[in-house]
Amino acid sequence: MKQRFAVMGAGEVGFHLARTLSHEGHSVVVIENDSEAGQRVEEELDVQVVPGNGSHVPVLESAKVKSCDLFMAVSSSDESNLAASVLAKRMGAQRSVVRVGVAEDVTTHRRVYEDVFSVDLLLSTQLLSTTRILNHILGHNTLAVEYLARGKVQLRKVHLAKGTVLTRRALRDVEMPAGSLVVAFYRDEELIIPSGDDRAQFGDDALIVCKTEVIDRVERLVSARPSDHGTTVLAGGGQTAHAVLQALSNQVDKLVMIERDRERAEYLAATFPKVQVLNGDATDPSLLRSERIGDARSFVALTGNDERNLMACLLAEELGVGKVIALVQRTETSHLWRKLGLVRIVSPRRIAVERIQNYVRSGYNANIVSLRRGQAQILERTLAPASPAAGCTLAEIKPPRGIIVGAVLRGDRVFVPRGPDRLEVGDTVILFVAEEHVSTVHLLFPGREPTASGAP
Amino acid sequence: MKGVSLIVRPLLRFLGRLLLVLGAAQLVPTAVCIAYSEGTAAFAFVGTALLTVGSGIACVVLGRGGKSSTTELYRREGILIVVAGWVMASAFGALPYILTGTVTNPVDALFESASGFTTTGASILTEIESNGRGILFWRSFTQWLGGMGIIVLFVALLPELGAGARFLYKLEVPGPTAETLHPRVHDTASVLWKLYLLLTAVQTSLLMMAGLDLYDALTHTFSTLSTGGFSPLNASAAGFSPSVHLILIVFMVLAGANFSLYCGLHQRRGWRNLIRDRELRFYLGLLATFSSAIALNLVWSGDYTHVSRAVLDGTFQVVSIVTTTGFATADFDLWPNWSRILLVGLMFVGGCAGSTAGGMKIMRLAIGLKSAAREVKLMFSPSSVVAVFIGDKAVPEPVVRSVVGFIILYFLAFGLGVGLLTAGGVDLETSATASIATLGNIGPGLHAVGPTGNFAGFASFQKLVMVLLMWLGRLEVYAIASLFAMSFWRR
Repeated sequence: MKQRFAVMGAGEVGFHLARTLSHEGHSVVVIENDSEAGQRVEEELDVQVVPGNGSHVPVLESAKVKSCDLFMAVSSSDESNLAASVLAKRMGAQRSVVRVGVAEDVTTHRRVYEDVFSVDLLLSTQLLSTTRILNHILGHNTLAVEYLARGKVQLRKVHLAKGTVLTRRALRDVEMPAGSLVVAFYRDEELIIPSGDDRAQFGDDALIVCKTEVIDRVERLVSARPSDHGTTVLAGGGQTAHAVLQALSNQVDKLVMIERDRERAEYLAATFPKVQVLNGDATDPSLLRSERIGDARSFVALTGNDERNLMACLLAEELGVGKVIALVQRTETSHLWRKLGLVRIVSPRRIAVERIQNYVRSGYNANIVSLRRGQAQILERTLAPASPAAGCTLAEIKPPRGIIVGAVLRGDRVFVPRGPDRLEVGDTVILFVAEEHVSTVHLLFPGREPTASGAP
Repeated sequence: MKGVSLIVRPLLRFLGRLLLVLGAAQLVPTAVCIAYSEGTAAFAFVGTALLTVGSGIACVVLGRGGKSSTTELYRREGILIVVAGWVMASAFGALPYILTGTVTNPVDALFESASGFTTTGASILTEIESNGRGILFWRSFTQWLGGMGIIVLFVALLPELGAGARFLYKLEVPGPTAETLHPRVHDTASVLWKLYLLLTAVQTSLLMMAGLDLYDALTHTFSTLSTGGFSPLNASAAGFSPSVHLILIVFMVLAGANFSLYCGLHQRRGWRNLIRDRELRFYLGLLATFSSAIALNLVWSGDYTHVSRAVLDGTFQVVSIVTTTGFATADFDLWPNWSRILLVGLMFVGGCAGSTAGGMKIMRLAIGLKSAAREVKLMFSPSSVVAVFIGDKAVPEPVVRSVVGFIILYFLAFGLGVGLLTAGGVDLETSATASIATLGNIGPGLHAVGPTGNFAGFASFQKLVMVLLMWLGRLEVYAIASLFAMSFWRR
C-alpha cells in the first residue's frame, strides 16, 4: 500500500531513507534547511523538497505533515527533531520517529521522551552503533546485546554444554543464578518459548535473560564455550566510545582506551576506574607496539575520522589483533574497507536507516526485537491499571506456555521476576512471546494507549 | 597609602568584630570564677574581656569607611584575615593567663593560649591542679572554640560576610577539599556549630552519668570534641574509671571523623553514606589495627599483666594520638620501643578531613600515596593517563597537586622545627616529637615532652617556634606559608 512520509533533514540518514522509501513506491516529502542539500535531493530522487526549518509550523504545513503516515525527524539537531515531532503529531501526523544523539537518553530516559514529545520510535544512532559494536566484540555467544531494561539486563544466546544441568532436568527444577532466566531454546529451525516442564536437548542453544552482573556466572554454568574476551582496545574516546566503555566495563577482562586529546583522556581516566587510558595517537605504530596492542583480542577504531580509523585498523591487523572493528562515517566507502580485508565495519547512519526501514516494514511495530524471523517477539509493556495482571503475583497470573515475563522495571529498579514476585501498576515488563500468543499478550497486558493526539 | 588602606580597612573591621566575639567568650569563665568564688580571677577575666572588646571597638572604628560598605574579600585579604585572626585570638586569649598571675612570661602565656586555640594541648604548666578553676576552664574553653574553628564560628554568627566567607571557611576547615553542606556557607557553618553543641551536650551528660562532676565533665568534653587534650587534672585522663575512658574513646573517634557525614544522618541515605565512606572505613581500620598491635606488644613485653587493661590503654592511646587529642591514660613514654615508634608514626597521620583533628589527614596521605603509585606506573607506561581514585571518585588534578605540595611543606616545617629545637641543645627524641606534636596539634610527645612531662623547659625562642608550628598545623600550612612568599606582598 502506498504511504505518505515526511523526512526532516536530508543528511545521510534522511537521504538514504528518502531514497529507499521512494524506490519502494511511497510518496516522500523531504524538509531541509540547507538549500544545497535540498537541491541534491531534488536532483537525485523522485521526492518533493520543502525548504526550511522543520520546527516551524508553516514549513510543516507546506510539507503536509497532517496527512502523513510517518514523520521522521532525523536531522543532526536533537532539539529541532524533538520540537518538530511534537508539532507534527499535533498537526495530525500518524506516527513519528525521532533520532537523537546521546545513547543514554534512549536507554534510561526513553519513556520521558516518548511521553513528553509523543515520539513513537526514539532512536539514537550512537546507541545503535554501540549495540552493533558490542555484538562484534562479544562475538557469537551474544545474540543481540539489546539494551533491555535500561542496559541493566542483557539477552545472551548460549550454546549449551554437553551434560549441562539444563539438559538433565526440567526448567522448573533447575537452580539458575538469581537474576537470570531461560526464555527460549533454539532447536534446529524451531524456536521454543518454554514452560517449566520443558527441558533442553543436547545441541540446543538457549536464550537467557540475565542481569549484567551475573552473566559470567550463568555462562560458566551452562555454556559449552564460556566466552573469554581478552583485552579490548578502543581507539578514540568520543561519545560512542563512552557508551561502549560503560557497557563493557563489567564484562570484559581488560579495556584499553587510546585518546589523542589530553583533556578528554583525563576525563575518561577519571570516569572509568578500571580502564587503562593512554594519551596518544592510535595511528602511531610505536605506541601500539610499546603498549602491546597486538596481544589484544579485539580492536575498535572509534575516532570521528574515517582516515584515522582506517590507518589504525590496518596497523592493528598487522600487529595481529584478532578482531578489528571500525566505525565508518561515510557509508559509501564501505566496499573499499572490505577490499582491504576489514569486514567488521559499523556505519551508524546505515544502521539507523535499517532500523527505520524495519519499523516501516513491520507495520509500525516498535517492539524491541523479533527473533528467528518473527517466530517470537520481545515486547515491552507498561502495566495499565486496567490490566488483569496488575497486582497479581506471577504465579497467580500463570502466563500460558509461550509467554515469559523476562524482566520488570519498577522505578530505578530492574529485576528478573520469579513466581512469588508481584506485578504493580506502572511496572514495565519485558515479555518473550511466541508468534501465536502475541494477541494474548494484548489481553493480559493491555499497554498504555498510544500517546498520539487526534487531528486538529 | 591608598592601596594599603584598601587591605587594611576591611582587615581591621573583620578583626575588630572577631575580637568582639572573643571578648564575649571571655565572660564565660568569669561565671565559672564566681561559681567557685575565685574573686580576683573573676576581675581578671572581666578585665581581659574589657580589653578585648575595647580593642575590638577600636579596630572597627579605625576600619570604618572605605569605598563600599560590603567587604570584598579577595584571596590575599582572605589569607591575611584568617592568619591575623588566629594570631589575634591567640594573643588576646593569652591575656587571662597573665592577668590572673598563672604565668609571668608573656611567651609562656602565648604558648598556652595558642596551644589551646589550635587544639594542640601542649602545656607549659608544671603543676596544673594548683591553678584556679576559672583559668583551667578558659584553657579547655579555648580548645572548644578553636576545635570547630574561630573563623567558622564567626561565619556562623555573621551572615552578612558574603561571598568571601566561602574562602575563609575553606582556609580553616581541615582537609584537601572543604565540602559545604548548604548552598550558603553561613548555613553550613551554623549546622556544624549546632552539631558541635549537640555532641557537647551528649558527651557532658554521659560523663556525668559515669560519675564526673559538671566541671570535670564539661572541661573534658571541651578538649575531647575539639581533639585538644587539655585536662584540668595533673594525671590527664589516667585517674578516671574505665567507663569514662570508653566514653572518651568513643567521642575522640567521633571528633576525628568527618563532621559532614553526621549532618546527613537524619536523611535516609545518610547511614549508607556513612558506611560507604572510604576515609571513615580506613580511619576505623587504622585505629583497630594499631590498637591491637600495641596491645599485643604491651602484653608480650610484660608491661601489662591484664590483657583487658592493655587493650583499653593501647586503644585509648592510639585513638588519642590519631585524633590528635593527646589525652593520656598511661605514660606511654615508658612503653616498649616498638609501641613508642608506632605512636610517633601515627602522629603524622591525623584524623579525617572535615574533622576537628589535626595532623596531615588520612585523605591527604591516601591521595599522596596513590599519586606516588601513579608515578611508578607512568615510569614504564609513559603514555598512560591515570586518575587518582578515592573509592569510585576521581580526585581532581589540582587537588592532587595541592596535596603533594602540602605533604612536602609539612615535612619541611617538621624538619625546620626539629632543627630549631635541637639548635637550642634539646635532645633529638624530645625535639623531634615536640616538633610533630605541635605541628600535628597533638600535644604530648616523648621523653621530656612525654605525657608526664611538659613544655616548660624550652627557651622562649623555641616556644615561639612551636607556636608557629601549631598555627601552621591548624591552618594546614598553605595560608601561613603564603605569607612567606615574596610575591604575596608584591602589588
